[in-house]
Amino acid sequence: MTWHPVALAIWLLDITAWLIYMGAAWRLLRILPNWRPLSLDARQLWCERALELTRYQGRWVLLLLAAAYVLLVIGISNLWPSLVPGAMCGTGVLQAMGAPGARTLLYWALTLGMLYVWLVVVQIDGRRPEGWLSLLQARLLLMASPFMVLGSWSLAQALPALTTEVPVSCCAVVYDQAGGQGWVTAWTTDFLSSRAWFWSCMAASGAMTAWGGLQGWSGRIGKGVIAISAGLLLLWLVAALNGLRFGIAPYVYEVLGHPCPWCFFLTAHHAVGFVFYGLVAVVMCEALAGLVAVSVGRHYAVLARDARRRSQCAGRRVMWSSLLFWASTAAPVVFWRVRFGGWID
Amino acid sequence: MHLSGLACHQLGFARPGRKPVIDMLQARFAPGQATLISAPTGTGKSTLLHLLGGLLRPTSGEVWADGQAVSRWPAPHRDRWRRQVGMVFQHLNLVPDLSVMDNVLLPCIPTASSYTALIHRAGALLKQLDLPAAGREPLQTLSGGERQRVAIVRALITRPRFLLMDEPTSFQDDDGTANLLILLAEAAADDACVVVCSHDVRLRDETRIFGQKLCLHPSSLEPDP
Repeated sequence: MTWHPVALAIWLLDITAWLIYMGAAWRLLRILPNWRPLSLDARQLWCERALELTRYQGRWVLLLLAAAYVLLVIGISNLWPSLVPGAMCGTGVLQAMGAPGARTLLYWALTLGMLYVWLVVVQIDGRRPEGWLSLLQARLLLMASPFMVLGSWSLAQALPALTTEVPVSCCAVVYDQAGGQGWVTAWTTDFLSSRAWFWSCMAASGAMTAWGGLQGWSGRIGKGVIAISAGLLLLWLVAALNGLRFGIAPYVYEVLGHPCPWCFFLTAHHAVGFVFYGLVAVVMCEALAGLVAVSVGRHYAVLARDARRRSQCAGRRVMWSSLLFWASTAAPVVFWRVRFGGWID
Repeated sequence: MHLSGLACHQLGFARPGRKPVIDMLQARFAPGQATLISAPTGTGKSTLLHLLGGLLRPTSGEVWADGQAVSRWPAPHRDRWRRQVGMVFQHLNLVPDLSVMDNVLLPCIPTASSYTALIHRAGALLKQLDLPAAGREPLQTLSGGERQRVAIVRALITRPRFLLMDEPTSFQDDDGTANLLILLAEAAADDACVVVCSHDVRLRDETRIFGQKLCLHPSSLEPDP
């Protein structure tokens, strides 16, 4: 067990989030079978008061888990490499943690995504006092529990592994080995070159900006919007994540063939990973919010106007954050080109 | 239920583990009319006013305001609706460290009214209740009756749609009571829904202002004999 202060802070945040979540879940489990919106009796009014309280509890859980996630990323990328022999960045720390380390990141990301979807539903429903989406809110908040359990379980397995004395390979060795086995080479050279990944990242970000702007302006909730948004988000995600590793990384690290996502977070590289991946997270969350808003607007005619407004807001946020992503990822490449007059390829 | 004014529908309120203070209460308070509710102490007059004003949530039943079940709204919506409510509390609830004028203007913070117009109205109301119109005095220098009149002006400053008063004449002499009755008549003429809870005989004997006089029982409001 590691007693690193950041690890303890993560535990504290996780345990506090769990305590608050359990309070909310206990109420929700009593609300769901007793929900009778047409009734005026004491039980129904208790359910309404309790549901209102769970909205505040859910927000706190989201806030605490988001803080824990940021701390976990900071710990893995910058603080804990010094604890693990041989580790230079987060890749080494994740090696020491084993599969539970990556699983914690994945399950917590899914938990946060689920809680954000819940928050969007709460926001749309909160624009009207009648509470049309009360039951949906309750179910969504409860649906986050499996991911929370898995996340906390993985964390409990991952953090003790930080005290290992077995040396791990640094990221250069890991990616050289992986490249030797063929899959990195396949992605970078056989499938798309470094420059092609960069341009596809730029093009996808441009498309995402345009789509966000269009949605921000029109806020459509038509049938095709969900398909186009989801398809575009998927394409952008593939292009952005691979573009970062294979297209942008050479200009940030100033070295070819080092597609390590964790080195972006190092202070030696100005911790640009927090900007890059932070913006990816914002675009994903807001695109998801737009999808949820469109879906709510299509299923609940009475909330169509509020859903449309949220969809517009999500569109504008997607536009600005993908534009910022586009600019921030292009900056090191443009800087290199201006400074040296050529591309790294 | 699309009635204007305030209405209680099967309204109930009970503190945890205690018997209900109010139970299955049906009532309606029409706009443009002043209603006097009287009852012995401890029968739930203040609780009823707090339920009508959205400060307490019923444990059963509903409070309707202008055709909307406001008591079942979530807090953010209920808080916004409460801007239409002016309330005089039994224990006044003034801020002791602020001046008279600052206390009076407190409910105007969330409104977008012109400051000059507000100062002008506050001054006129203070003067009408025999208080200095400038309102620069610290609250601590005022007597109990004067403080109560400040609380009355604070309730009236926003021209509320629903005016709720809890024992507003408990510290007032006859002149103060007469001035208050004039203000109540003006508010009712302005189409406000006025509900006053009091066991002051001066109000119970008043025949021109109160269109409705009721006596509160735990589950009913009966006409006051």
